[in-house]
Amino acid sequence: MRRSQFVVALFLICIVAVSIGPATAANLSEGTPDLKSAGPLAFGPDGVLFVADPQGAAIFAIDTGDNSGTPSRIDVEGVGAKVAAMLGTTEREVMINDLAVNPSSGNVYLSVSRGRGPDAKPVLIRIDSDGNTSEFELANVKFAKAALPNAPDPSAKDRRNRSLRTQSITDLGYVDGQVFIAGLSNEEFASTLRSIPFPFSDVNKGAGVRIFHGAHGRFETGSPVRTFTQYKIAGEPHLLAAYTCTPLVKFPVSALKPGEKVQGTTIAELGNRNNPLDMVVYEQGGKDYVLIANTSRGVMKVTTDNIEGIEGITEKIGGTAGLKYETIDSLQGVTQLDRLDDKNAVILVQNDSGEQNLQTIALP
Amino acid sequence: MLTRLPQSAKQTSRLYRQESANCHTAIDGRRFVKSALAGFVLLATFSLSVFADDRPLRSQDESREQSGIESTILAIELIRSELDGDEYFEIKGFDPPPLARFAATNPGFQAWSHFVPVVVADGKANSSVPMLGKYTIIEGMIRFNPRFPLQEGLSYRVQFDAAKAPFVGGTRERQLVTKTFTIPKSSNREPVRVRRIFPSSDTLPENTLKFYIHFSGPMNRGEAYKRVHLIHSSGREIDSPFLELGEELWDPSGTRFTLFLDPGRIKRGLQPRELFGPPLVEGDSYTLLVDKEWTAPNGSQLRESYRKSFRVFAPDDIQPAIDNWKVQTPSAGTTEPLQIRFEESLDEALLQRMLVVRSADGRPVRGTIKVSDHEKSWDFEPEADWQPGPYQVDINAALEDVSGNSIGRPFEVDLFRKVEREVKSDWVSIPFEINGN
Repeated sequence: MRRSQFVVALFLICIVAVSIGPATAANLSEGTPDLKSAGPLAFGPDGVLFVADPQGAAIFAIDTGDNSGTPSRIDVEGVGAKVAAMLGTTEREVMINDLAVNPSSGNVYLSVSRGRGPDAKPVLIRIDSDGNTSEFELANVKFAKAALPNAPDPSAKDRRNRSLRTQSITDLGYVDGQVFIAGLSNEEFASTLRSIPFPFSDVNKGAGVRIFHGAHGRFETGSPVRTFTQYKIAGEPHLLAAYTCTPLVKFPVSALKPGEKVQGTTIAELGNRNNPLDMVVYEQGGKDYVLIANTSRGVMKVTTDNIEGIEGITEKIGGTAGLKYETIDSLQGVTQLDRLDDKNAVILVQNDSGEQNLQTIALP
Repeated sequence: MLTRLPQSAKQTSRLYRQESANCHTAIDGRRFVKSALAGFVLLATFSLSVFADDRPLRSQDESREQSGIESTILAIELIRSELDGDEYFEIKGFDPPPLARFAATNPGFQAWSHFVPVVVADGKANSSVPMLGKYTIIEGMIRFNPRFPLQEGLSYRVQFDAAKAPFVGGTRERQLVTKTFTIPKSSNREPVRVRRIFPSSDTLPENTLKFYIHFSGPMNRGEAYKRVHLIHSSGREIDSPFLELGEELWDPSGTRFTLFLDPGRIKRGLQPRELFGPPLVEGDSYTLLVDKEWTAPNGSQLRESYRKSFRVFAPDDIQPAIDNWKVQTPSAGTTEPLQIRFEESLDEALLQRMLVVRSADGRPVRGTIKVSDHEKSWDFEPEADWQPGPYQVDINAALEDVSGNSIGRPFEVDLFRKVEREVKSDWVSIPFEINGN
């Protein structure tokens, strides 16, 4: 075989080898991810954990190697104090930034900051169904990193030559090969929702979609997305998203094309004093519901009846327009939630004294 | 068997000071053995001192069941390396061969922390959970390097349980040796203060979108929305006026906090505004109060509360228009500032980075920006003298006024009126000429 033929053959063998392996293992290489912070979490396929690093302006895809197990209930009383003790400090010096259940194993992952100042250290914690709480160590793991464009102008520095602009990442989700990232600048009122194809490639770092909101079909503003989840409406993948200005909206994923301007369709007004924190979709009795944790009420259970037919709330709200919801008063102080399985969710609850508990609840 | 440690055991390669402290080894509840223990590496420059006390964990009743056990002396020390600031605990006084045999089994964290956990011994901490760290055996001693730096003001307890230690001669002696170290608080705890708040004007539009709070040092996350209050001149606190994000919007140094007013109460037609009205009302006066209880990472609170009082005028729905800006050009051969005056206050943070002066070849001119006159004035002083010829100022169309109206787009577009200008390009330019003498 001539040398050039051999090289081509070798190349083809490599392509076949990659294509028959798990898609998610591609582009992940062994090393130590240099997380500067650990914010929102989301699981992709095969135990791949996406970790948003707002300070480092990056998304990490980490192979947890955590692929077996049957989800079963997880309850850890005083989880905040327990994690703090592991990290050599007290609960007030620890922030639990997000919670995600690995659907491949049922184990719970927490993204944590050890410390509350600018030098706080990022930590990932894993909790199994026996309540065993351990650090998910980031040394020698398979991972990939996607850097996010941060400051629009790199020359933008203050007098001490520091850039003060940061892009906070408010939520992260994986839908059919795309990682969606919602965020908010600490300066301009930006409204970009970004999507990055996964496996990450060096070429495509994702492009932003400008998101807008029209109140009553009349007053249109740029509207940063605060939290979102995926949901299929009439078989088509959608994002259900809560805006920073409170309405719950839907977008078809197919409309979220780089550089596009997209206006979400308002499907519910969630009212005042209840900034959404986290949301999940589940099925009960043949119907789908959205469960939304928020800052100041019991958890809201929103029906999806006629979600495909809603053309958007365009009239002044009398308190009844859009999807109906009920408030589950027994679930107070829920700061994070994720689905454990079809019937149960794992929630992080903070009581009035600041103590945090991890609980498994039946989906209401 | 545990062996007695020579009291003067020192690592001669290190500079350290031997402190004496009492160590009570809990053996049978009746007998406490005292020993000078706490050898401690002291950094000449940092002068860290550690106070040790000892707390046998077993109750007297439990201990009484034990008898006839040889007294044992272990030395437990907290050491700080003068070279790299590394902190670690050392537990000495073991028979080397059994310890080496145990080490050969390559024990993990679980195995070690089963018999020699290090815990946070603060009153509010969960002291039943071992602190993460790495155990190694060095020169016949067990060394524990904490996963994270020890925290000032906290106490840490090393608990060696001989009965659980697999290498202690197979006896079931229930000996528990504990030693607690308190990390002193740093003397450098200068309280942080609020330096200033933008917008700096004492009159603001009803639809003001955000405030920037600048601090003299880094602050803690996680309590911002408890520490900032919007108070009407009548004394009534405005309920839920801010956009509360769990992430909190800080700059990388932790010295500037961005506070958005709830856009759901500013934007017309949304339920929060329909039900509760805008947070600020034209004609009224308010105070933005920053509470002194806000804490910094050094543990101290703000030096004092900070109040910014302002009066509210009509909402501003108009985009900044660069055609109305007044540009004063400097003279050639000087570093006089280029001055631009705006019709209204613009966003202070964006003014620091969204205007770029370029020379005729398109390269940015290096210089210093100064924002003044309640953010209505922008001065640019070049590092090198102005040269005769054409220049331009490029302005990012995302530059906003204090109500979030940008050059490119108003905060809120009334689709029924559609009279606003929408700038399609990302940048707009103002050309200017430096005249030769």
